[in-house]
Amino acid sequence: MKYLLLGYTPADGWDAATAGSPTEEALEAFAAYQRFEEELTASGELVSTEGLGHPAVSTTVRPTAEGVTATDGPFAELKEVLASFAVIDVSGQERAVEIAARIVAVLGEPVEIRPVMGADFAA
Amino acid sequence: MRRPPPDAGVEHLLRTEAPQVLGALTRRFGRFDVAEDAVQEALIVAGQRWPAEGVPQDPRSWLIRVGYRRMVDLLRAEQARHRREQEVGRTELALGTPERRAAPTGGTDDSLTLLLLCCHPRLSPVSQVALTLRAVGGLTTAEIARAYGSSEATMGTRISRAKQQLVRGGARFVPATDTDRRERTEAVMRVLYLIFNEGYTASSGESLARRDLSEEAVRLARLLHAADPDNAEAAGLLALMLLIESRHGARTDADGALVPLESQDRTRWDQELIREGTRLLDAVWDPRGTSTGPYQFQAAIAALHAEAPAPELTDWPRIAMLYLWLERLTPTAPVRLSRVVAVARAFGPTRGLTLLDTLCGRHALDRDPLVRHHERAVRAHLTRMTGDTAGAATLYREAATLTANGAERRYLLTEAERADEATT
Repeated sequence: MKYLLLGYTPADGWDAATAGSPTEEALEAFAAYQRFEEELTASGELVSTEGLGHPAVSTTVRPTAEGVTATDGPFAELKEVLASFAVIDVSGQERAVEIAARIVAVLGEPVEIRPVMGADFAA
Repeated sequence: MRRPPPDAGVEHLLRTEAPQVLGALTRRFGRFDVAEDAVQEALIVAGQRWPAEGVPQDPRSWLIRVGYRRMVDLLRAEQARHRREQEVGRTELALGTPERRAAPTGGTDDSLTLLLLCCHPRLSPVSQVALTLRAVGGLTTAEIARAYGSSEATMGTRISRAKQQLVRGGARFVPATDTDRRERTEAVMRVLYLIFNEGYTASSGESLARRDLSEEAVRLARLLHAADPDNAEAAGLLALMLLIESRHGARTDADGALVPLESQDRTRWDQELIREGTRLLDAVWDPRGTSTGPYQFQAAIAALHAEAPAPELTDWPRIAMLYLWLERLTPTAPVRLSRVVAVARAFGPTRGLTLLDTLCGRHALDRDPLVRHHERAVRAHLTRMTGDTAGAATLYREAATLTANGAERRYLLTEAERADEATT
């Protein structure tokens, strides 16, 4: 079963000044996460995982009365913003929570688990 | 903002990396206008820090990282402003012309794409020049302003207006299609040659800053040639610049006054540049000349001057022929007058004067306020060659009253006096 893990971070804390030059702790956390990533790759449970650019560099495409337009900036201004994601393919919800818990312990930030709806659930 | 005293190595590195960094940021995040500001600031930071702290191992990633951070800052400020104004900047989705294939990263050279964008037909030539120097050349606004004798504020406004025009005009950072590439490359070459000539004709402004412009133009012409090696005119333009540049050391005397080609000490011409320019031209020159463009013809003329060990050994008949072909492509007054001089040198002053009369009758060179003093000066020159020194003196004085340029007037009056002396 596939799950999308969404890693959130406080918008205020995501400072442009630190975006490209992480602190010692951040580097350490990242290294720990990479080791965990290897573990999940070995077990065949990791589909893909990526870090994301700052919300300021996002673009939102939406329908409007004048047709489809692209707007610079995020869809909504939020306190906590999406910073990274991973797609995992695991035995079930319980295992997904277990993995998310390991990630949260390492990165210190909340992770949302969203089940990926397979063909079985097609409306 | 100004960079610290230039460290030649760092300076060169920054200018080479500037278009690549800008290309990387624009490709990934869009917003050429904001990315351009961010790169400019990253270059300034690097210019301050690298000479002292050493160049980072991977300079490009360093610049991309710092530029990205600046870009985030700039975009956040802009988005906060938009929210306050309750208004969202929207770009219309240009559906139908998508570049679906992801461009290969890393090895891509964005210089040509950037050059084409900066020389967008929507922009005035002055804006094209300023934007090209900043975005592709990596020069600071202050440096560009200094070279053009304007204030940094004025130049900054011009550059940001140019960028707004690009955004409003829906200019896109995508490689040009073959169809418009040719036309757009012509604009690029025009801009580069304009920059080169600004530096070469040191008529106003600081001569040192102007010299930078010529060097920058040569560097960008090299870049254009490397990005589009099959373009014979781009090779011709680079050859032309190198051949003109080869005379740099002989162009001025000890007092800084201009020395005309005829009187230059040819041993001071840079043989290395001449060899390179000639080689470039030979590689693309089509002996049938059916598709040869104006830069190649001008380069060929410069090459014939360069290969003559003395002025009297110059192959004037061939130069006259090249000017005739050039005139067919670019029928301008300076080209016509140059052809007249070449014909006079090759076949005698009488043939030259006959041609001059014909051209005046057909194109009114002697009545066009922009060129009539040149027409008078050329006529004076040819008349003296026929031995009619009294007639020449009168013509030189006529020419002197028609020009607004002080240095030129002094030169013409001196020639008039010399003709007077020869008469008595």
